[in-house]
Amino acid sequence: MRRSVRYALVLFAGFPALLGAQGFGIYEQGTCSMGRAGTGVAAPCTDGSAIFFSPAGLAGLTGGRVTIGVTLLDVEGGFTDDILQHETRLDDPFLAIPQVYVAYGVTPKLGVGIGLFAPYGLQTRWPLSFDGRFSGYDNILRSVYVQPTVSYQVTPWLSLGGGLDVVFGKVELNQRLDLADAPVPTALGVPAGTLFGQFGIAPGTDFADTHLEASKTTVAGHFGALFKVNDRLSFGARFMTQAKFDYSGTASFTQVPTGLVVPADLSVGSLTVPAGCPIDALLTAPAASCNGIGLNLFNPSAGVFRSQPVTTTIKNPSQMALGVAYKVASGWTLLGDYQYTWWDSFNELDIVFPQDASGALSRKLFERYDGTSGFRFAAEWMKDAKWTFRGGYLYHGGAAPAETVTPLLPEGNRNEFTAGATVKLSRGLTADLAYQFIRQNDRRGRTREALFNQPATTGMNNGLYNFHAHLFGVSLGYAF
Amino acid sequence: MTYRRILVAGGLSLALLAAACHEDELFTPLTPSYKGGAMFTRYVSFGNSITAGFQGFGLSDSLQRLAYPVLLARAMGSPFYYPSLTNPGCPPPITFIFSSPPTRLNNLPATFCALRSSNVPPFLNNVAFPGADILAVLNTNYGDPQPPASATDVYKLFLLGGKTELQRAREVQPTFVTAWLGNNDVSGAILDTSANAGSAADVTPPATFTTRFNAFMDSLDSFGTIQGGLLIGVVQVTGAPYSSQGRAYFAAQASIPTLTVLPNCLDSLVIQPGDTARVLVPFHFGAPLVAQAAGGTPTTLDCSDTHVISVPEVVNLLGTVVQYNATIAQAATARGWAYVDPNPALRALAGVPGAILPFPAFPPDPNATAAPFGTAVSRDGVHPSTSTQRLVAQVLRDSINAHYNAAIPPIP
Repeated sequence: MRRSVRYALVLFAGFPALLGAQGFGIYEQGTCSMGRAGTGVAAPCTDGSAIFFSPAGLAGLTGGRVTIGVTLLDVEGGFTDDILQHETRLDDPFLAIPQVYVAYGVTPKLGVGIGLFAPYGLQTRWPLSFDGRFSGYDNILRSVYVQPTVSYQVTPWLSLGGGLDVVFGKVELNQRLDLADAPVPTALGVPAGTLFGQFGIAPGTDFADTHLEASKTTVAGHFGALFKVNDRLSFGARFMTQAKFDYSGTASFTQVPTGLVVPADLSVGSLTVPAGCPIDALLTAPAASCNGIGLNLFNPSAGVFRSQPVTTTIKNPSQMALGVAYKVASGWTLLGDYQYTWWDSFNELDIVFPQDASGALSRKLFERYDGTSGFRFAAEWMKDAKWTFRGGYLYHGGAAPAETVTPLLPEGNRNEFTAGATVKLSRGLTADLAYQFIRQNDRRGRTREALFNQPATTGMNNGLYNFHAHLFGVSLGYAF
Repeated sequence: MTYRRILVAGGLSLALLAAACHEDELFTPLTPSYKGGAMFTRYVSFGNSITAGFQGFGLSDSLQRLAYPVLLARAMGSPFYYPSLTNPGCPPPITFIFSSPPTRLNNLPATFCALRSSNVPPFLNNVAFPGADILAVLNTNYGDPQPPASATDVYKLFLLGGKTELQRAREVQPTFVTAWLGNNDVSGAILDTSANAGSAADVTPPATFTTRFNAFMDSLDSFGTIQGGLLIGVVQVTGAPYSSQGRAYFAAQASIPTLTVLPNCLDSLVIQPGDTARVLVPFHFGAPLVAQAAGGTPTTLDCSDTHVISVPEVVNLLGTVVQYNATIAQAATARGWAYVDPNPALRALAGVPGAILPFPAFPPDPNATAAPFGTAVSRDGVHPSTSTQRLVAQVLRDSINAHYNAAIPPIP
C-alpha cells in the first residue's frame, strides 16, 4: 500500500516503460510488411522497407525505389480499478508514424539505400482524473532512426547487409505530484521521512505539476543476412544493436492549488501552524496567515521544485529476427519470423537531479523487464501483375513483469491480425494498404509508483488494464 | 490447396479463440457471495467518535480496528479502509482517569499525536471523525456556517484530509452506508466544562438538526450508487456514566465523611413510569470535589451549581434526542432503509451487573482502574468499550439482515 515517499520519485518512472514497449514498440515500418504481420526477413517486400526488415535484402535490387508511408494508430484502452470497478479510458490521440525508404540497385550485386522510420514511439494520455496521473498523464516517446544501408550479394545464395542508425531520441513526461506522498521538510522539526499523508492529507491531493523534456542523438547498427536455398526457399536473419541514450533534459514544476486549509492549530515539531492557514500558502513563501511559516518549495531560485536539469541513461534494446519464406504454387508465399528483443537490459534506472542538494528528487527505479519473443506468420498471394494480397497473424509476449504494469505502459501478451494489399497503379507507381488489429490480453497492473528506491511488488497492483488498437497503413511507392 | 486452407483457417481460429478469451478472473473477487451480499460491495460508515473507535478520550490504530463499522465490514466481507493513527495514538487513550490530568498510555500528554500511519490507504470507508456534529459533516472547515471551534477539529485534517465526511465518502461510491450522527449535537451539554453544563445553548435545536440531517440525506441520495443503508438513532447521552446521577454522589457521602452532598442532588422528575429524569453531575466537576473530600478537605456539592445539569436541563436533553430520532427514523423510512434505536440495547446493558457503573462508586469497585465506568464503557465514561463496540456491530448486523433479507455472517 505504501507508495513513493519523495517529491518526484516517479519523475522518470515511465521511461523504461515507454521504451519497453513490446506492445508500443512499433514494428509496422512498412505497409507491405504490416499486411504480412511483420514477416519478411527471409523475403522482404520490394518497397525498400528491407532497410528495416532485412538489411541484406537490398542486394539484387534492379533500379531504384522510393516509398513514403504512414501508419495510423487508433489506440483504445483503459484501467478498471478493483474496488470501485470504475474504468478510466485512455485519452490517446490518433497517432501517425511515418516511414520513408529510398533504395537503389547500384549493380546486380550491390544495393544501397537510406531509410527513415520510428521503431519505438508512443503517446499515452490519461485524463487528469485518473489516479495514474501521479505516474504520468501525458507521455511521449519518439525515437526516429535514419539508417543508410549497404547490401551485397556475396554468392548467388548469400547476401549480407548492414547499416548505421543515427537515432534521434526525445522524451516528454507530464506528471502530477501527490501531497499525501510528499515528505514534510525536516526543517519543521519532524522526523525524516514523515509524509504529509501522516497529517491526514488524502491520497490524490495534487499539489504540483511536473513537465520533463529531454532529447539525445545516438548511434546504433543494423545487420542482416539472406540465404537462398533455392528459388522457393530462403532464410534470413537480422540484428539491430542497442541504442544507448544519455538523456539530459529539464524538469519544471508548477504549483497546483489544493484548496485545503488547516482546520485547527497544528503542532508540527516545535512550530504551531495556526488554524486557517491555507496549505497552499504553507507550501510556498512564509505567510502571515500561517504564523510566518512557509516551506518555499516552489521558490524559483532555491525551492526543491525550481526548474532544474535532470539526467538518466536509457537503452533501446537490441533486437533480432530469424525468418523463413517458402514460395508455393500459384503465386503463394508462406512466411514465418521469430523475433527476440533483449528487454532484459532494462533492469534498473538511475534518475539524477544533479542540482538537488536535498536528494529528494533523485531516485533509482527497478523495472526488471524480461526479454520477449514474437512469432509471426503470414501468407501472400500475387493474384496477377496488378494485385497482391496478404494476411498474417502474430503473437508476442510482454516485456514488463507483473509488478511493472503501469499507466505509462500497460502492456502484456498480444495477438494480432493483419491484412493488406498492393496495387500497381501505373508502370512505376504502386500503392499499399494494410490493416492490423491488436488485441492485448487484459492484465493486472498498478496506478502508483513504488516506495522510494524500492522495487515494486505485485501487491501494489490495484486493477486491470485493457488495450486494443486498430492500425491502418498506407504508402505510395515509385520505381525508377 | 484445400488442405492448406484448412490449416490456415484452423490456425486462425485457434488464435481468435485465444484472443477472445476474457480474463475476468484477473479481478479481485469483490461481491460478497452470501445472500444479498452485492449490496455490501462498498460500505461506508458515517459518524463521530464512537464510529471512529474513540475510547478513553483517545484514538489509535489498536482502537480503530475494534470500532463497530470495522467489525461489521469484516463480517460483510467488504474491503474497508480507515484512517489509521499510529499507536500509541492521537492522543493516546486514558489509562487512569482519576489522576489530574488523567494518565494516558505511555504517560504521554493529551497534546501528543503519533500522526497517521505512513501506509496511507487509497480511500476511506470509515469517514467518521471525533467531534463531528451534523453541521461539521456537511461543511468543510472553511465554509460557512461554522460550528464552534473545537479541539477535535484537528481530526478533520488528520482523519479526513481537510474534507468533509460526505466528500470522502463520495470518493468510494458506496453501495451501502451506515450513519450514526447527532450524538455530538447533544453531548456537548454534558461535556461542557464551563459553568453552563446542560444548557440549551450546547444543543443543536431539533428543527435545525432536522434541516441539516435532511440535507445530509439529500447528499447521500445524490451519490447515485447507494443501494441501501442503516441509520442509527442518537444515544440518550444522559445515560453515560460520565454524567453521574446526583444520587450516586449523595450515597457516596456516607463513605467520605468530609463530603457533604446537598439534598437538591436528589432532585428528579418522573417522565413516565420507569423513566425518571435526575440531576446529573459531570465527571469533570464532581470528580475533583470527591478527590478533594477524600483528601480530608471538607467539601460540599451543591447541585444548584451551574456546572451541574439540572432536572429541566435533563428533560430537555431527553426530549431533544427523542425529536432527533424521530427525524432520523423518518429519513430511514422515506428511503426504505433500516433504522436502529440504540437506546433499548444500551438500557438493557445498564441492567447487566458491572456493565455500567455510576461515579463515585462505593464500595470501590476492584475493576475501577481497568473499567472505572463499567465494562460497557471505556475509561472516559462516555465512549463505548470494546465489548460494546462489538455489541453494536452485532445489533447492526442483525438489523441489516432482517431488514434486507440478507445473510451477513456473524461478527468475527
